[in-house]
Amino acid sequence: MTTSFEFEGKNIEKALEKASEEFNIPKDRLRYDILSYGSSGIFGLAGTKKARIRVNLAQESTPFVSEKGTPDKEDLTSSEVADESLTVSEELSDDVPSSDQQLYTFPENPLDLGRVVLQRIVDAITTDAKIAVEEDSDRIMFNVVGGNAAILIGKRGQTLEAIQSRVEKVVNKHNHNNRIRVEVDIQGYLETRRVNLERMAARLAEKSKRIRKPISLGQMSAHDRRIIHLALKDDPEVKTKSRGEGYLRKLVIFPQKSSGKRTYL
Amino acid sequence: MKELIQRIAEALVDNPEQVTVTALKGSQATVLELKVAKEDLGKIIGKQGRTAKAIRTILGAASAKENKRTVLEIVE
Repeated sequence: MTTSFEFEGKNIEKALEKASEEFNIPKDRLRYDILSYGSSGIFGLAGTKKARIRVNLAQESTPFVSEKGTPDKEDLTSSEVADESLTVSEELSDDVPSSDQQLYTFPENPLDLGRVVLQRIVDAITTDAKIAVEEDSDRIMFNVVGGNAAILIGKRGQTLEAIQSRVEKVVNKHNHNNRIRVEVDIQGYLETRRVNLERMAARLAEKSKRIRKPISLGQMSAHDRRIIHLALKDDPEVKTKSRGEGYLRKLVIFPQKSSGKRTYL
Repeated sequence: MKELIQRIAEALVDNPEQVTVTALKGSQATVLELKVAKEDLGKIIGKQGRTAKAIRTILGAASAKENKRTVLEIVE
């Protein structure tokens, strides 16, 4: 019963916009499969490929759509949700996996599941936030746009980190061997932070070389430490190490013996 | 708020039908009591309380929107 249409665009986002205009459905409610990610080629010149998506019209009314705008609606009990999903899945029984008819309905597909869970968390924190999804072979990237980004990110990104870990947990609840990496970005915050961390790493590496003493960087998350390790990996004059345990794990930058005679630290 | 915790918890545990959340409203803070099946307790708390910490962080952000404080208690 599904009617599907294909859309093309410079990237997935553009293709989605076209589709959402065509059917007058908000982008985050469209159900779509990505046929091709497209590529901008080399400097946008050689080998440009368009991104293509297939939009499935009948599937856009999943049980959760009705909730999305009003996550705090207390009267919506789980049984009501289940009833609703039952009727929906009767209508399009050929598309909806049978497990959707259980009492607690979560989509099977990790991507949809992640989006539903993320949307619900985000809606509880702020309003009018949209989620864009990108999928790689082994990871899913969610990008939250709109809403109150400051609250969503939290102090030093702690809310963002919490949201990400939660979504990751739910998505990987049933596959312990083959974990899918989940990344949640909020209006490009991850990228900004990466740039800042790399800049800080470079500055501290310089300082460490100059004063010939190791410099330790205070408590950082595994993700932040990784960025710094990677940033300084190619610098032969410093070495990086992580020290300590758990939340107190620190990163230390050691100056390496240079060719000169002053080999002591 | 209650709904949110209920949903997050249900998505995490093996026995979603045993998840209950009760809200105790105080003058300043609301206390949410989360009750799950015994064997799911570990899943809710997580290694070194990591999962519980993350849920509390999200809860904190969600209640900041309404200028309220919400405390999450996980009850056995």
